[in-house]
Amino acid sequence: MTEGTMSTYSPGKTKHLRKVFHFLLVLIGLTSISCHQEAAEGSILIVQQSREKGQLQTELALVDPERPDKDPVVIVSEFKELASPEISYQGDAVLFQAKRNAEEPWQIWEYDLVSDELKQLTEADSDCKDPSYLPDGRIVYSRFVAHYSGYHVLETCQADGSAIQQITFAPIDFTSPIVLRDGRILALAKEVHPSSKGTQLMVMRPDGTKIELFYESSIEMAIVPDAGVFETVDGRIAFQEAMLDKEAGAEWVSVEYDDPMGSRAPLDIESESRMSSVVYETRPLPKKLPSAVNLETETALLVCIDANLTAGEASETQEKSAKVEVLGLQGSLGTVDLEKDGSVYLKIQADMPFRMQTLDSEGRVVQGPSSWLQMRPNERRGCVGCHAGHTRVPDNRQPLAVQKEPVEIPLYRETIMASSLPKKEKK
Amino acid sequence: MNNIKVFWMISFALGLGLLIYFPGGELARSHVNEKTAVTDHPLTCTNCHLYITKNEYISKLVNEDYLSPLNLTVSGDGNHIFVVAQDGDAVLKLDTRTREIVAKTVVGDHPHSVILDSEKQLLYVSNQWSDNVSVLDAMSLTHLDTIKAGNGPSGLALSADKKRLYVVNTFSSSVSVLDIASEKELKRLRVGDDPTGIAVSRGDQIMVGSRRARLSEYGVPLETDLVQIDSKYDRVKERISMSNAYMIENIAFTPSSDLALTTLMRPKNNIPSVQVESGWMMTHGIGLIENQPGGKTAQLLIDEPNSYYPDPYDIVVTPDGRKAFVSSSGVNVISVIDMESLRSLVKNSTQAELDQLANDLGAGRSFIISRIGTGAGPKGMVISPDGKNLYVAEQLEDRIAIIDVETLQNIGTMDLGGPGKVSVLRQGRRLFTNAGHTFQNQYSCYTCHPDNHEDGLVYNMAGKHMGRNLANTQSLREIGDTAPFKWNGKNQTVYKQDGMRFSTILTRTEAFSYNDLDAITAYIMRGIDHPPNLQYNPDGNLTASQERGKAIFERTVDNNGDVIPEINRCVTCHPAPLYTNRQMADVSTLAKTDDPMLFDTPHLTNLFASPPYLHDGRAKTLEEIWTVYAEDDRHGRVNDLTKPELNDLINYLKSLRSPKYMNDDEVAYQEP
Repeated sequence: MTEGTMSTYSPGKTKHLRKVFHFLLVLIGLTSISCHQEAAEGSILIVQQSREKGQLQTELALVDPERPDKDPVVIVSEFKELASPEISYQGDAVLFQAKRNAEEPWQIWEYDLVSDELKQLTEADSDCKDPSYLPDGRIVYSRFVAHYSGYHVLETCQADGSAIQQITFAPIDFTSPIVLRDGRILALAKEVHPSSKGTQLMVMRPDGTKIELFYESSIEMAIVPDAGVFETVDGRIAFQEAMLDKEAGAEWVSVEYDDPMGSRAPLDIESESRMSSVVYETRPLPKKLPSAVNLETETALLVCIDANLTAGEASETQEKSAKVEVLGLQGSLGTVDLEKDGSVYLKIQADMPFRMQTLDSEGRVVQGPSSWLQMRPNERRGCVGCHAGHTRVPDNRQPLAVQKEPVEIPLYRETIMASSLPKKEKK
Repeated sequence: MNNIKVFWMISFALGLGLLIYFPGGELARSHVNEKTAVTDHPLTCTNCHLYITKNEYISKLVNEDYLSPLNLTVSGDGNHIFVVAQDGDAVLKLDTRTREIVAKTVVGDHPHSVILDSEKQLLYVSNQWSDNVSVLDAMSLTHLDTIKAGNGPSGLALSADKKRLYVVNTFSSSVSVLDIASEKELKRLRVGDDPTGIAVSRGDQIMVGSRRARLSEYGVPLETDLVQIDSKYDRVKERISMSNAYMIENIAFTPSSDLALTTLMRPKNNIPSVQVESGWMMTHGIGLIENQPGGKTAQLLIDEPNSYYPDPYDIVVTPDGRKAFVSSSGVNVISVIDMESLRSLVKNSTQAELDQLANDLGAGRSFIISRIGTGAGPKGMVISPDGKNLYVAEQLEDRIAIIDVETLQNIGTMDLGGPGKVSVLRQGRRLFTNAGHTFQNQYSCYTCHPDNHEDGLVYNMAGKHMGRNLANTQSLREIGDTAPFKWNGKNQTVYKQDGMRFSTILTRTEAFSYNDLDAITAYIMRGIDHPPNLQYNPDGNLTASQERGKAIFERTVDNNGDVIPEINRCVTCHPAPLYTNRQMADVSTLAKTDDPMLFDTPHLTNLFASPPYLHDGRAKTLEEIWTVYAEDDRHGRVNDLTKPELNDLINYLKSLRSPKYMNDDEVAYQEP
């Protein structure tokens, strides 16, 4: 016999639970659901705690907002803990993270609202959490890895949990992935090695290619990672920020998709109320982005148009770089001379985290190292300059470097293994 | 007995049906798979065959006659607007108060622009495919006269005294100065390549834009001309070079004429096309020229970091000079510029800082105050004299949108009376011109194929490695029967060309749905016409030089009396009517940076309009193909030709035109 209703979680319990506390209620605004269809249509999906035979458990239930006096209809009830529910775009299934007992890691589950089938999608030996549907039916989620101080990589899998693909490889803690309407994955990202940095918002294609910065806080602010990141109904990206020098005072803010760095604004009251109670309504299906990854290829190509290009005007006294050094996890992967126009063209070992720094002709560091980068197998991408600023587009000129063969990185092949993080075995 | 007969007849019919259905189904599946290069395209015969048919009766049945408004002007009292309907070959007069059509008249072929002499109540309409200007009575739209212009007349301007008409000749890249009274062409001034837009300042200075960059070697920064004409002497005063920009479609002066504003695009063709993110393929914006000696120039993007506003077409400024509007036909949006903010930005920036801003996706946030959605294909715009209303020609809706300049809200439309329904071909055109099928809306098909042609640029698509396999953009006019496609001939059909690989390599977002793919294929195959070649072959009567060139084109024996091997004759690979045998060939043009490959033999229709030439655009002119790049005589036997003979050959090549315009002699030639 289920007893109790909606629970309030202790804020100190875990960050997942705090997230659940904030996003307890999920509106199902979708219409074609059978079985629980009538109950679900227009209902609110809640995560609630109950006590079964003296044991505390967490349930997924539907509440009719028109009849708040009516008991919630429990649809999933066999978990000790359950969090981060997300409705599929078609409204026929719910994804969530759950664990049957406190000791086991979080896994990703899906409940089919049509067939009433409950399905475990991951069986990892570490936490898998924050699942989101990709528009092609696959799923993206965060998986914990125990390197360094511990962090999360992003993985994707098919709807049945098969074909797991790790898509991030740098020592960056990627959490709370969501799918933007352009089809890319947006996630909270925090570098954990060699030193811990503040949380940013990073965006990438579902195959892990074209990772780039989406938003970073101003110097006196910091993103609050536990609150997650969400896309509002009107297409703004919402998250929490707090002043660095104050312990409290985190506020919901939002940025526009079109121009995230230039549009930060407090989240309006209506949207904020949605964030704290109602998260999802009918969602348009994001774009299904084609993949450029070819797993039979071991390398990727990177061109930098001008490593000397900096945001704004370069000062006359600023030293020009003559080389670029690529750094792996264990040290240098090679140093390459820049072309006269500052360009460099590299063929880089795929799925290997690396950073870049520019050097003068004497080998002294001019700028860098950069944040961690990665290239997926067969990925081809370019950067305008090492510190060009996120709004800078390239000059329309052919880089001298691409008139030659690319320089292979690592230059020293024996460093490949030492520079690569262990990947999860593919199923 | 009858029952037995019926039984056998039904059995026979059933058996025949089954026989046709199952093996026929397999055949159909195989056929469709081959054509589309996918295995799940729907097996509906009509999806393809109905809309790409050349049967004129069926074509008439499934298609519609649209008007496609392009440009417009407004009467001095604001009570009427005059709209050029490009596909309708017509001009319409609408009452802005009742929003009704009050008059309509047929003009020349493919009209482009309209201008009004308010004092004399005369309308001038440029007929781009007729090489003339129609003169109409503005009250009744009665046709009064036709004035001969240059080749491809488009933009129009009147001198301050209304005695001279300036006509931009797009196809011959010139401006005709016409004396209205005598209808004589006083002068023809050479301007930038492929011009359309023209504007007159308060001081009677004239500025003409151009859409194509100057021809240059690949990798050299683009330079596109903005030409100032001194109207006092009707001569070119200055050529302002807009670096790294092209497609300067239109120009507007502020009311005080202290600034000239243009639309423009900043392509990235010299950069390996490895991504769309970060403006890596195409950016769009405005040009700004301070109209004073030593004034600053600026190019400022109207794009944002994650959203692009491709194919900016027109720009207009309010009478009070406080706002400007830019129509982006690739995303159906009007961007609104706060002129005070724009002026402040320019005033407070050094020229070097402005040059930096040309590549900054954040620049627009300081002066763009709103984006207004429109119907499909917003093109020409005009503001009412009282500054209250903005009228926008929605080209692919057959209507005019009305926007309140103060509130920046859509307040209605004026229907031009086009067909109510959207045909498959029309849908295809909408898809062709809309950037919604590229990542972050960065570019449409039209962006690199303006006027359904090509943009004169060479791109490094970097399919495998960067810096290799340069590709000269090819025209899409009347290519329906010229398969295979791409220079390497890898795409046997337009379906394959625009299918999944297109999405992976070029648009880098979700592929077309099959319905959309069918529609855009139908449009590309059957919806795009060549203009007539009035410049080099107006009526099929070749000049003496062209006749001599034709003989060289068809010759079998060279000047030394040696028989030219069949494979080395021009006419073997370029036979009429399409001037391609649709075969792959090696004409000794493979570059060191090319992967080993043969090249698809290109068609030569309206060849004069498609410089540069060869697969990588290395030949800036037709002459260069043979004087610089044909040393070994493998691109036809040519090294025996004298210079006059080569000139004759080239004159003939420039005369080649679409089969649609061929006369009986030419038809006889194409079907020996």
